[in-house]
Amino acid sequence: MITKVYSLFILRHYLQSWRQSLLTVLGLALGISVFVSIHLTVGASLRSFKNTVQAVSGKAEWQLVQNGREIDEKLFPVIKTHPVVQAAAPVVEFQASLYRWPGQMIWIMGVDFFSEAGIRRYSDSLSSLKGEEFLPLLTTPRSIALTRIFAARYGIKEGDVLTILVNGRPKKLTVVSLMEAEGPAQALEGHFGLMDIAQAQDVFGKVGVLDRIDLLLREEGVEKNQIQELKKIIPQGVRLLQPADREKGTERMIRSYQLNLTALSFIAVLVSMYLIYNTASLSVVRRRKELGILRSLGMLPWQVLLLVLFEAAGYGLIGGLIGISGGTLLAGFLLDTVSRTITNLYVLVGVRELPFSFFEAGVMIFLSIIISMVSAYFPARQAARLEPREVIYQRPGWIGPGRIKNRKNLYRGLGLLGLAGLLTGLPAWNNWPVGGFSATLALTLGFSFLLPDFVRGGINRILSLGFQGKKDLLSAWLGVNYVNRYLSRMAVAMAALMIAIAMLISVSLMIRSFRQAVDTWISQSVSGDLFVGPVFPSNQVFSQFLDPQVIGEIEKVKGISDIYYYRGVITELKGFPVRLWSGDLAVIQRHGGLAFTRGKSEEIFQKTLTGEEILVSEVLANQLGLKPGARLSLMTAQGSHSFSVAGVFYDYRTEGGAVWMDRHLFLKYWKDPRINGVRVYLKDPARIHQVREAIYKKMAGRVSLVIISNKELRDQILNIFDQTFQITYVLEAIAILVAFLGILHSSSISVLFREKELGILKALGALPGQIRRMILMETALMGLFSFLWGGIAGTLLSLILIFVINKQSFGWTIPFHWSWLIYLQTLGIIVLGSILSGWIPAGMAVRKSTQEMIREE
Amino acid sequence: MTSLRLSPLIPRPSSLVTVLLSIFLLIFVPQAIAAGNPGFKPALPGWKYEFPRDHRLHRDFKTEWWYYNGHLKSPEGQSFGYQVTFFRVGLIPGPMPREGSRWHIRDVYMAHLAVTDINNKTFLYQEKAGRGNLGLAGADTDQYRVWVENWKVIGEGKGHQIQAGDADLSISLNIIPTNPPVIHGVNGLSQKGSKAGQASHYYSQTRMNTKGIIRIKGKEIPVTGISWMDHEFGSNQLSKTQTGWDWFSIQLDNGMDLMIYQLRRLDGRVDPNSSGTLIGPDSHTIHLFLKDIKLRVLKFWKSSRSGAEYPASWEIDLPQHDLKLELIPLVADQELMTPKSTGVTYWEGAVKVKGHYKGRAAEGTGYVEMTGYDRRFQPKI
Repeated sequence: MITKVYSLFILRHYLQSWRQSLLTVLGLALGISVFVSIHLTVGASLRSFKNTVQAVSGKAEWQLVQNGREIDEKLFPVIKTHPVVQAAAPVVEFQASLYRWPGQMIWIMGVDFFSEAGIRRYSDSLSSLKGEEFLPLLTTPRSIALTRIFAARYGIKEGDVLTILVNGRPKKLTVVSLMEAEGPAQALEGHFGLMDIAQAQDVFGKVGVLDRIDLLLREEGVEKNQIQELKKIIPQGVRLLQPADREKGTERMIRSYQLNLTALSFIAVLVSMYLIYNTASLSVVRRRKELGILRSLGMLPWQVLLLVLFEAAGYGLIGGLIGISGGTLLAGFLLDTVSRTITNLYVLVGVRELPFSFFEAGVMIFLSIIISMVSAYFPARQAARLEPREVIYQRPGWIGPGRIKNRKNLYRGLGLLGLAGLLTGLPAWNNWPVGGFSATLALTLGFSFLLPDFVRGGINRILSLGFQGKKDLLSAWLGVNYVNRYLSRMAVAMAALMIAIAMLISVSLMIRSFRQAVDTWISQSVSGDLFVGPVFPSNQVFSQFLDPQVIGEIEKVKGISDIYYYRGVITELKGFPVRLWSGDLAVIQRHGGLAFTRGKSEEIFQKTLTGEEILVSEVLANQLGLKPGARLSLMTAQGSHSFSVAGVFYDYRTEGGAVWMDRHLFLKYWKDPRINGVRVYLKDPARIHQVREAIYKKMAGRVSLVIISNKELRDQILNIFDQTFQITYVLEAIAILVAFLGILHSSSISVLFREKELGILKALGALPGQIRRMILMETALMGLFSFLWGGIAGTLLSLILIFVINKQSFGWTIPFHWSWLIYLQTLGIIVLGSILSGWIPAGMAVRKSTQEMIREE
Repeated sequence: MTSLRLSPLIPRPSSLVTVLLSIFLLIFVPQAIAAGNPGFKPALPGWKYEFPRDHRLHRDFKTEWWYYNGHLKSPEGQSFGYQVTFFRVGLIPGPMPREGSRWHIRDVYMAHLAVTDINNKTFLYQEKAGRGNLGLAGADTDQYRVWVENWKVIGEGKGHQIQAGDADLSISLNIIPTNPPVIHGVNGLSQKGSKAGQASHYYSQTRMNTKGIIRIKGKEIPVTGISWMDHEFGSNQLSKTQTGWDWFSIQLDNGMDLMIYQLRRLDGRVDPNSSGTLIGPDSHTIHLFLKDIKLRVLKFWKSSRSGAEYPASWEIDLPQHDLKLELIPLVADQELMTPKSTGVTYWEGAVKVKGHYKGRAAEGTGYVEMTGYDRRFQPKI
């Protein structure tokens, strides 16, 4: 019986107010879709990363690696025949650029097919290579096996030649076989090639060395003392690790990126929660009488509560379903951006497919339902508290913040703001800025509670400006008055819009400040007129080298005053991957130096040039709590070694922090003179073009170099920067869109509620244009006040973002950079949006005939 | 097992269990052959054997293997059969390039060890494979030494030292020949097919005193006994009409030894190039042509694992020499399955031998290898 009442009551409501229901569902669906899309896209990148790691390390439980350089292959026979070792596979790997497709990469692994058994070989041969296909790799000079996916993507057939760039030099490889997407061929969504180790060593210039040795130990060998046995024969600097350990740091960084995006995407959900709250309140108010009757017929308060909650759950279900489809669709658009960003920031990932699981879809729908029910809880509780008598005999009113005494709202709001202030003081938990996120939430809620008072104050000011008596402004005056009178009806929608605006402004301010900081940093700390290397100076630079002959030729080019030779390696610091750059720091010092957090630049450089002292980036210093003078244990090719921190410098280049050391230290601890690239300083910076041409000319046809000017580098860095934050704007835009749905919703409700009033106005001679203006004035006012209040909230939020959340999760110092433009742009969007969302309700009010509107039941 | 498909050259494919599928593909895939075969020397009549030189590596030939089997006993009366093979396939002729990577492949080496615990009726085996780079596998020309990682055979003085296996199963044996090497075939050539060069150079050390240790699951068992050694090298391939082979080595208590191989054809008949060698106590050898040999299967045994049905007892009759022998497996199941590598399944194991020679009872021990029973052999191309 009760179910029947429920379904009748709920369904009838859906149908009767289908417009509002639709808006609500749409808003929620948008919120959910943003959430889903972030979950899917970052999840896909994370999965790609993990798959790649798993695919290429196969079943290896252990790996031998040397930090920042290759292992001498002479170690291999010793390891292979060690009694503890069950299987050992040597690996040479290389990230090569595709000659014909600039910007595209392929990850090539050189293996010894005879050592792969048990590690990457499961059945006949390498699981992705059939037996017939593996032999030609051994017997055909310079041959490679590609994945079928890759071959299809680039139109490559067996027997074709694939030209790759290795250290700037084109190398031709014959494609002798195509692999199925099994085993290691699953890596990087097919951008993977397999070669025989001998040919890989020759082609990649890695003769005599291995990038790593993958190991399986005997079961009885896993006992600790046997691992110790193995460690005894490993030379200094070579480390025995588990593959999972090696990737943990990177995974943690991607997860942190995911968390931040998820937090951002939650804004749209939050905004849609306001929308549901609004709808639920409306539904309760509209049917107070009905509810009263049901109550007097014996329905219990908790049953009324459930009734309203179930109604909201319906929105959750439908919104969730649409949201998942929409999210999947949106994820398709965002996928490329997200995976490119992760590649730029952390590690090469190739994502082509979204992981879709019905389980996750179920979880999302469940969440969507829960979110809806939570949003509807307060209206539902108020409905449950209604006394039958009171309901039936009282005049219809409004349930919402307006009914709560204003004082109470004020105290709540102020209390939340205070709480937000306290929360910002909380330290990060596991690098997660829990305090920062909670403060953000508290601040937004606080501002929501304070919104009605703010608006009331604002309107009184406007009214005191004196509309009265001015005929032209009559409709506007009516609009303003209406907002004032029925503020409680509008407050929730306005709060939702206010939150969206606050987020937009705060994130924009944060990004703008960040960008400014990066820009300033480039011009202050990234000296050099030309940057020359085999690839664009980015994270990929580590595996590619300039050969000495090329360097020699560059040195002879006329017009060069100074050259800075640099080398980057990825090494490890307390379990985190850290980028280590080395170079002749005296050159850097001569050309503008670096921006240090404190200390005299000259003294700091002096220490690095002579002693065992290094520089650390601010990010790293913050993460590890390092100060100048502190000691830092760094994994070198000779094993762990302790260095003193000479200085901390601002660096916005990469995530995870960086260490800089002078070349003399690098040579001492890595014994590896190779160079990744050079910065060239010109005698006459105006001659950039001529010098660049001169270098190109010398290399023509032999070596393909990337030569970029300081300005181009700057543009590129900022490009990557913009790309990284593109997605946040998408998230913001959707949150704003949801908020406007809220305005549209509230405004159309308010039109419905005062049909009679509007009818009387029309009967009294109000022209359609005046009615329209009046309603547009209302929505514009809602937008304006939301903007003003959101602007203040957003500015405060941006401070939390920059100085708490950013600092705790990334560690950068970002000077706050104020920009009026952001407010202006936002205002533009808001005014336009509010007017647009007032248009439909205004139309409704104008179209309906006056008689119909004023007819008594 | 791979070598089986590798060449008829090796009529008994020494059981290289794990070995890579592609190795035999090398033999059968024409383009692979085109890349690898030219430059290898065919086995032709007139080879002049010289020892110990011919124990060593013959890099000019494409395929080569060194094989040992034997029957051993412990002081406590435990009996064992064992079989060790080292196998080389040349992929690319000529020396290593002087510059560049030291991983450039020239040969692939494989090794296999099988031990039959006759008292406990158990059969254990292991395998190894590797490319001959960085000293991880190889063979020498200046001394008799063949190795795959730490499995190795080394000639020391007159003796051969064998070391093979890992923690679960291993053997260390010291083997000393008691008779001179026996050259099989005619004019230094063991013919395996009708075409010129479809042959190998093939000799055996049919009697070798053996002493050493077998380790099974950490338990060391001192053993003594008698071994048989084969060494074969050539550059040819199995003909497409051959489906498998049966190979026998027999050491009789009366001092006589016998080697026979029979190549089976797809049409169910025996290839006319099948042959054998009868060795007298005085080391005098007699070449046996197919017409001289009568082979009869007395019993079959079906493997419950592979479903293959193998001959389980044989009768060998050499009427011209008044020699009639029955071969009975000492353990029924001496089948090797290699699902992890080539997927080839075959039987190779210790047998006891009973019969008559010139009217007198003759007894002894032997080894039998049977291939191609699990499925009809089909070259990939």
